[in-house]
Amino acid sequence: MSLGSKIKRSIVHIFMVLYMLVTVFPLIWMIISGFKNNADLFSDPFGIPSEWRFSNYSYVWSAYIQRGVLNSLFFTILGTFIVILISAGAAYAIIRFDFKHKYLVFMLILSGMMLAPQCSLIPIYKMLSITGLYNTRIGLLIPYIAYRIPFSFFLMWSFMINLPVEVEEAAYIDGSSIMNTFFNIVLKMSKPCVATTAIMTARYIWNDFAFALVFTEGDKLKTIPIAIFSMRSATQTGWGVMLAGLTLAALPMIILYICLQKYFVSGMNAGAVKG
Amino acid sequence: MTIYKNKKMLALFLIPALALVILLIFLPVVLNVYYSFFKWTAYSKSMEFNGFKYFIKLVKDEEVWHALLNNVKYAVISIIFQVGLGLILAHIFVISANTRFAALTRVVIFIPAVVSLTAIGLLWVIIYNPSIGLINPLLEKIGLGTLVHDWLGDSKTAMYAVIAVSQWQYTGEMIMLYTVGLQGVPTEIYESAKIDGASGIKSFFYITIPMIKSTILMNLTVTIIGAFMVFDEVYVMTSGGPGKATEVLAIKMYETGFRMDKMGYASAIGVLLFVITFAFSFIQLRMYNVKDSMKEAR
Repeated sequence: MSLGSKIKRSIVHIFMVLYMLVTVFPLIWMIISGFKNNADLFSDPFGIPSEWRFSNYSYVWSAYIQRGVLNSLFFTILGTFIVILISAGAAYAIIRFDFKHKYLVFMLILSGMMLAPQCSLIPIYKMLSITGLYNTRIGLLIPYIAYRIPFSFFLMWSFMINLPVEVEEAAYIDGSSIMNTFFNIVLKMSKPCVATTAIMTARYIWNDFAFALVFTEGDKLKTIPIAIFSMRSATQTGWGVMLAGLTLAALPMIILYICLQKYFVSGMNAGAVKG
Repeated sequence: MTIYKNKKMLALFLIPALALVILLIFLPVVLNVYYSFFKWTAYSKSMEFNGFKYFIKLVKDEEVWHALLNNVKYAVISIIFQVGLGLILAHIFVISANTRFAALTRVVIFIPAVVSLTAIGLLWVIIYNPSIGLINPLLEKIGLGTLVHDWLGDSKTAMYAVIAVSQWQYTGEMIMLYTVGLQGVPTEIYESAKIDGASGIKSFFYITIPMIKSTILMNLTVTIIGAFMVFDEVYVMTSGGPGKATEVLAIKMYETGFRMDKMGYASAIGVLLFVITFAFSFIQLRMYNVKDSMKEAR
């Protein structure tokens, strides 16, 4: 390599290190400052805490976050599970079954991707009020599921379309029922796609703010984003406590991402939909 | 196979998805238009027919235009940083950096994108805070003390401060997306271009851009749609303030509907939001080229 290109490469590498620092520094600052009290934060914003106040984390957990985590886990796990079942089932039906107007049905589900949930906040709110589902678990869960179906269906469809039909046919000849074939053969063969769909759905539900803000009220159903948002107005306890709360809200997704990066990236690639 | 003609099974597989999509995605769009013709409030059952009054009001409402302009600012800046700069950086990382180091960089700069907008927004509220945050002490440290400023509190800088957070959070994600696209380009093309004396800039324009044109267009529409839908981060960071400085369409809709309880007018704003995002989504869906791939699969 020539000297010129070596210098060029070094400049690029230095830039990359800087970019990583700009990205990571605020997050690390958040985690460390979560151990500080206000005095520490004012006097030395960049330093190590004079005393590591683990009490910040335990306080914010029990006062604000705990219920949010439990609710968010409920919506995320159940929602993800149902989204996968429904969208995989629909994709399977489109790919294998014979029926009229197949293309129309396919486009109908897929077109759901074109409609942004933000535009429909008011009519969905009204629908939930009329049906008595406003501020109920199921009333928040259903919109979450519905808005993830078109994209998940598309992911599933584009994966399952390449599955060999012979495996299923052999199973049917051996007397396997259609349900058994779907769960034990089709879904099993689609594992990578199921994982990607699960990650994308979980990321969406865990991070959602707008639906939870509009379709629920009060403490009972608050999810993590609502819980940490309520700290902004409620907390007179100090900035350190608030930063501890933000850390607790952010870390689960960061850890999940670091462990399962490839699914995040493949999901992004297939759909390019921002969570 | 006859098993694939079983109507009961077909219904079982297909109806849940169809029903949810129709009832919760399509029906609300229709209802939104319907509701915007009436004057109504959240807690009363009566609705008073209003005709096109709200749509006329919408066109004349300066606050709506102001909000729309903020969305446009959001879109333009995001296009420059995420779509444009993101593409340049993705290109540089692929052609001029050590492969493994570039992979590490991409993984790291993607991290903010997996965290909720709420948590990131609140973190930056603290970072921007004039008395404790990070930005102002940092400026003082590097001798730019004159720039110290209440970034979110000043109506001149607030919108840009909010938009900047979005660039920080999502440019890494865009770089990742571009890189996935670039992985389809054989490295030999870049190498032989280099041997022929083509500079990095030349290979950017003659190789990178043409080879991942569809990815670029896709990222462009996704970014534009995102910029017009933006709600969470603005609501969390400023709730549209100070004054109306950072009000975007979705915030204007939310405030009108749920704070001022003018549900009919809020629905009309929702319809406007729908028309804008739908137009770009339509372009985006056309790019998937599903019709062709479905025909191929048959």
